[in-house]
Amino acid sequence: MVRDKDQFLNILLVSPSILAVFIFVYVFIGWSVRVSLSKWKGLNADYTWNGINNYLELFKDPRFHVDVRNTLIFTGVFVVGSMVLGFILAVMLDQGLKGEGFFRSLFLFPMAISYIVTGSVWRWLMNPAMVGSRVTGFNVLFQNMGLDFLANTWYGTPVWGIAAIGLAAIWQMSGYTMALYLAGLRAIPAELKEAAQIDGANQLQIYRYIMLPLLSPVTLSALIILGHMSLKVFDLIIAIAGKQLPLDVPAIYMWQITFDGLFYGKGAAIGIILLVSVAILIIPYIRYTLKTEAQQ
Amino acid sequence: MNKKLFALLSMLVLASMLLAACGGAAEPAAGDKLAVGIVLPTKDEPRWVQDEARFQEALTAAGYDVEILFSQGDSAKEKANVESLIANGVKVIILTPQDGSAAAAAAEAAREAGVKVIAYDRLILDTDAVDFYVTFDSISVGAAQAQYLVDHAEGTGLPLYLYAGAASDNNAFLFFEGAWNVLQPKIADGTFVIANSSEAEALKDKATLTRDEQSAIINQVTTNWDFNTAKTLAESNLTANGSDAKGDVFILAPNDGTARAIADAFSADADVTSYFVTGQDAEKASVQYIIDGKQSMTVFKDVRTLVDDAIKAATTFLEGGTPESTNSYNNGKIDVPANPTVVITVDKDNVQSALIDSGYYSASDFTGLGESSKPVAVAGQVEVFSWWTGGGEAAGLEAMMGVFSAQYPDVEFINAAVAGGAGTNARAVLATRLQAGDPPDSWQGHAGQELIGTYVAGGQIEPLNDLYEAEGWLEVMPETLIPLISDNGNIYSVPVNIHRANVLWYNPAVLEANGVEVPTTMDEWFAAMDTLQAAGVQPLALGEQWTKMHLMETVLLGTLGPDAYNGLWDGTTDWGNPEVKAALDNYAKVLTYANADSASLSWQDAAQLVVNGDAAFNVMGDWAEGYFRELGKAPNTDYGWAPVPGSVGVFQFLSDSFVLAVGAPDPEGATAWLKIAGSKEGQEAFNPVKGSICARTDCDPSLFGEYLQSAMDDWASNTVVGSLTHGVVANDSWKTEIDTALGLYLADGDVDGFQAALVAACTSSGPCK
Repeated sequence: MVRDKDQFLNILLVSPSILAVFIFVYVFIGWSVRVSLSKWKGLNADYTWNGINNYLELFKDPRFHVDVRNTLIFTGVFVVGSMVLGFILAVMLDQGLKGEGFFRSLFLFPMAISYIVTGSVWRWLMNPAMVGSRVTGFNVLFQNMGLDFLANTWYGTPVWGIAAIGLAAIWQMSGYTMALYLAGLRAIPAELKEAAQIDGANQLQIYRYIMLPLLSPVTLSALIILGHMSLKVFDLIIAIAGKQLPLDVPAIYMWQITFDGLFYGKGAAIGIILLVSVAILIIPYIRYTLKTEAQQ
Repeated sequence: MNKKLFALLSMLVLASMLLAACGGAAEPAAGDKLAVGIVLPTKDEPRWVQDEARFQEALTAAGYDVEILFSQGDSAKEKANVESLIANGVKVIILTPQDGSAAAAAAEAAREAGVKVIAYDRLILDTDAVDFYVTFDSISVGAAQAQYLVDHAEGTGLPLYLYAGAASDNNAFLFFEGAWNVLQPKIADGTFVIANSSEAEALKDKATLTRDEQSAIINQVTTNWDFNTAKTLAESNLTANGSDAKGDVFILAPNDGTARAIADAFSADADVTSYFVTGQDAEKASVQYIIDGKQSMTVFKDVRTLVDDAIKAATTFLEGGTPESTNSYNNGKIDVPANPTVVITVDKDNVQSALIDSGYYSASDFTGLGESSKPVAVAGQVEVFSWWTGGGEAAGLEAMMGVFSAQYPDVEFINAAVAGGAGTNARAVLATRLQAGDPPDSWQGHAGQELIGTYVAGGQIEPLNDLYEAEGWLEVMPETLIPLISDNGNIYSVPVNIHRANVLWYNPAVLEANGVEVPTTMDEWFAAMDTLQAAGVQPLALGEQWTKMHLMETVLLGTLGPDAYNGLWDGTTDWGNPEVKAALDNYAKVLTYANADSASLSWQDAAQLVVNGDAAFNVMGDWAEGYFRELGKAPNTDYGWAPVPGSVGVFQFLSDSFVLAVGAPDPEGATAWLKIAGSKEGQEAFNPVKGSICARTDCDPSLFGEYLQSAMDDWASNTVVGSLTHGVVANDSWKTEIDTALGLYLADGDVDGFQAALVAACTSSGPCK
């Protein structure tokens, strides 16, 4: 009896949140799906049924091809870069060096900055100008160090310019990845390392065969978190390069086509594609997490 | 013969009544049987035709059958009409006599047949066969006129000029009587001094005048209801009087026609500093005079109310009652009961509500209407939405707000500016607000298709043709501008400022050092840039993607010329034709002269390259000039300007403009704001600060700098075409598609693919089929 009463109270207490989440998340997702299947173009809502034509048009749209390509390049550079750098930083900090707290904060610090600030700084650092009075940032540095061959047009480079944006994102998020890995490393019992050492494994082997496998849940988390961030990237690109097609990604296209071009149907379709691609990443992860929690 | 007919008719009527009586209660009192007959004087005066329609509609709505006949100025016809109505079995006749005395016989015939007679607007004289009189109270008309003068009198010894109607018209006596009742005490106490009638002066202490005394005065000041007589009389009064009887004068004029004639005479006299003049009838011409401040008031007799009152009386009779009377009029034989219809005093302050809002006249019949109601009517608040949050734009908006508050102190100005993204953020916010049904009163938008394609198509903004006409803006804005900011003949926004898009900025020193003349054609431009490139000078400075679209539109204009360029946007020029291909090839060639790092440069960065001597040319709108001045550069030495090659004599414009929201929370406030935005004062306050020129062509050039003065000359004289990048010629959807096509082209360099994409964009979102 008492249990039932508690149960009822619990449900009552969380029901406002459930209701709010239902309306403001799931109802609006449903509404967006409906808009994406409509012919809505212009300021006034128009729910004329259009089937999946908006999606088909997008898959044929050369600009959307650029977006997909850019997203793949950006995700590859950003996720791999952040994870590798984050892992290396974590391993280094895990060596028990002096001032660990200071360095930990230092590497985490970029995460506290907004993408807009990061973008403004990196816009200057990665100025594509190679000659003349308007060369700034890295290109000046390279010239002064005699490394002229390294100077390049950064985000102005055709096709691969988006990778330069990835560098700025790595700078911002590798500290966060480091923190994840560091926590993971600290959670591994020292006995395992000692046992491996006794068995004659060298340091590299310990990391390769002991630590990394044990860190795989952390790696998965990092992959998911970074992966879905990269799919949604918007502000960083706007801050660095503004709206220009060579650096276009789905989120920017969605913004522009919806609010500048008033193609609401097509914009909603892009939004749903983004949602689905993020969901493909997130849902297995959530299921996995729930399962592990249940086992515990 | 006649008598026989009468007897016959009477018999018939009696017989039918008997029959009806025999029919007993089965006979309905009204509804399916003719109940009311109406006889009006003539179809040749619109007033009676209007009355016919009003009667017909109102009586039918009340469930009565009605027959309406016209006498066509003929008393015999009038009588025949009455008789035919009696024969048809009406219960009530509403009659406007052609001639008051001649109509007596017709009324008597009706009385004999047991039909009630209502005299409508004109009294039937010399008979007892009139049951009711529906009229405006002529005495109250005169009283209203006099009261207006008394209300506006301040001090003592004020010169009063009296004028009256025709001495042969009984109404003229009634009007005068009403006026005298109100004026006499104020004449007796010295507030007024009669300036044009010795008879009136002699009788000034007598509160009630006899008919003969009235007659004496009226004969001295009669206008005969005639315009010319009134004018001649006023002029001779003015000639006879010295300046002591002038200054601020008060004039009792009996009706509108004479009021205008008298007003004209008085306003021509140099010694008359101000005058109050009365009127009557609310004639259109006089309403305009009132709006213009040339006539002070008129007494409005709303005929629609008169119709309503006649119907009320008729239905009361039909229901067996007696209409309520508050007054009676002697027709020579009896006192006819009446309940005079109320008259309304109309002056500048209530002309809008009394005549326009009530639907009597439409606002478009008059000019300057809004202004007249301005001082008293407009209060409240106006929310104006813009993206002017910084620099010269915000300062210009401040200046214009200053002009606004000075003229409309009671209207609170709410500056709802949203920062960021050159308007992108503001437009997203606005779209959200509009979809939520919460529009600001007025918002900023680029004049032309950006507004029309988005907000007119969405039914979000009101046409402003009336405002343009009332404010005379059509005369002061270039003729070729109007079609570009119109849709289907409706103008939708008020342009505040004008910028020019097709400006080629150059560095005079760089050109001179390399022996290059300022190019006027595309070929000259290419030759010049070849020379500069060979000399190691960066020929063209270019910035981020939108500046490339800006460059593209000017090259399209320069290659195609204004007519074909305009045709691109109205669908008469085929985007796929070889000329467009040639223009795009030119564009491709121009791009080859540009700096490689354009993607990372803002328009300021690119423009700065020219004034710093790092590049020779830059194509940018004339807001660049404001930036050059900010940098401390001097016109014609640090920078020079010319139309983009190929577009000499053409002004490719863009404009920030304001609109009136459909469903604006405060439409009056919004209209007030638009008036300021389109006014000379408003634009002269805004533009020198913003660094743009007025949309009006009558702004004072001395307020502007050297470049802007030259732009003003061009604006007033050149062919005006619109800008693509800045929202004039293409709607947002189309522009976005062109932008995508351009972005893809800039990435892959495929001109043919670009042209195909432009053709597709015109079909998808433009006028092409």
